[in-house]
Amino acid sequence: MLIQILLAFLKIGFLGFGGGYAMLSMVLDESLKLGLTLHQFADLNALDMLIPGPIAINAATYVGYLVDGFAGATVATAAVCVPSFVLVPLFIKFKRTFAHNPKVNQFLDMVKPAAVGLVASAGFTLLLGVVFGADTLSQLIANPHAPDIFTLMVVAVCSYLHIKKNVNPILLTVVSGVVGFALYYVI
Amino acid sequence: MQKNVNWILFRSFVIAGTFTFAGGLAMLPLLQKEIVDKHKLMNKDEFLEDAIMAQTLPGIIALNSACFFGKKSNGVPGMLAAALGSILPAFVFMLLATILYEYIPQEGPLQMAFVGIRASAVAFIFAAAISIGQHSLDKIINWIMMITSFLVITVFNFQAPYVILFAGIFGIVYYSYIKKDGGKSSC
Repeated sequence: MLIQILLAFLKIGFLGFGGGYAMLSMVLDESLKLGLTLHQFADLNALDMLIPGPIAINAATYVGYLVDGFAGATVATAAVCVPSFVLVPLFIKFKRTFAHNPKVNQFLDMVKPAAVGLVASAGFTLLLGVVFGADTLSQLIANPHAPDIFTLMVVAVCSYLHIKKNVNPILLTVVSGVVGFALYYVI
Repeated sequence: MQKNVNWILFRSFVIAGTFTFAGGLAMLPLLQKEIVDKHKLMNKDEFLEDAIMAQTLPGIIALNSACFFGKKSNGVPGMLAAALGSILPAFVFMLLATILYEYIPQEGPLQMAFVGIRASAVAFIFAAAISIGQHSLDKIINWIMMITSFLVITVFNFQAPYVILFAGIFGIVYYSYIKKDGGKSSC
C-alpha cells in the first residue's frame, strides 16, 4: 500500500502545474484509486479550508493517513515534496547554464507576464468563491446572485490596508478571522 | 553576532506556512517582508524572479519558493531549512485535524472565522500579483500577455501549463521574428 501511495503522490507532484487547486482533480483520481470515497474527498476539501498550508500537503497528509495511518501520511507528504527538491535545484543550475541563450530568454520573457496573469486569476478565482460562491466566471454569469457583503468588505478593506498601507498580513488574517467569528453571533 | 541564516529561513517559512490559508501565492508578501526587507537574504529582483519561477514549475508553489529562496540564501542547508519550515505546519496541523476530524464543529462561528480568513487571502494574492507585475510589466506587449493569460484562464478555463507553454513559444516567435532585435537577456 505504501508503494502505491508513494507513486500516486510522486505523480501528483511532478505533473501538478498551476498550483494546489489545479492539482485537486488529480488528487481526486488518485484518492479514489487508493480506495477513498467521494465523501472522504469532500471532507478533505472542508478540512483544507480550516488547516493552513499548501493544499497539496494537506491532501497528501489526509489521504496518506486514511489509507495507511501515520506511515501513509508521511510517505505521501514526502512524495509530493520530492519534485520541488529535484526541479528547483535543476532549474537553478539550468538557468546558469542557459543564462545567455537567446531562445531561453525569449521564452522566459513572455512566461513572466503570463505568470502574473496566472497569479491574478488565482486571486480572482478565490474572490469569486468567497464573495459569490461561484467556482468559475461562467458559472456566476449563468447564475448571477448578490455578493456576500461581509467577505466583499473583508477583501476590500484588506486589499486597501495591505497594498496601500502595508499592514502586516498576519494581523489582517487574524483580525479577519476574529471579525468573522464575532459576526456569527451578530447575524 | 550573525544570526543563523538557516534558522531565519526555517522560522520565516513556519510563520508564513502557519498563517497562510490560501496557498503559496498568499504567502509571498509575508515572505518578501522577512527575506528581502528585514533580513536582506536576497535582493528584491531576484526574489520576484524566483517567485515567478516557483509558480511556473510544477509541484507545490510554496515549497518551490522555499527551495528557491532557501538555496539562493544559503545553499543546500538553507534549502532544507526553508523547505522543512514550509512543510511542517501543514503536515502537523493536517495530521491532527484528520485524526480529530469528528470533533471539529462543522458549522458555527469557527466556520465564519475561516470564511473571513479566506477572504483576506484574496488581498494577499492580488498583492503578490502586483509585486511580480511591477517586476515584469514594463512593456505594452507584456501587459497584453498578462491580460490575455488572465482572461483565457478566468473566462475560458484554460489550464495553467498550456498558458505558460504558449506564452513561452509566443515569446520566441515574437522576439525572433516580429521584434527583430534578438533575444533580450533577462539575467
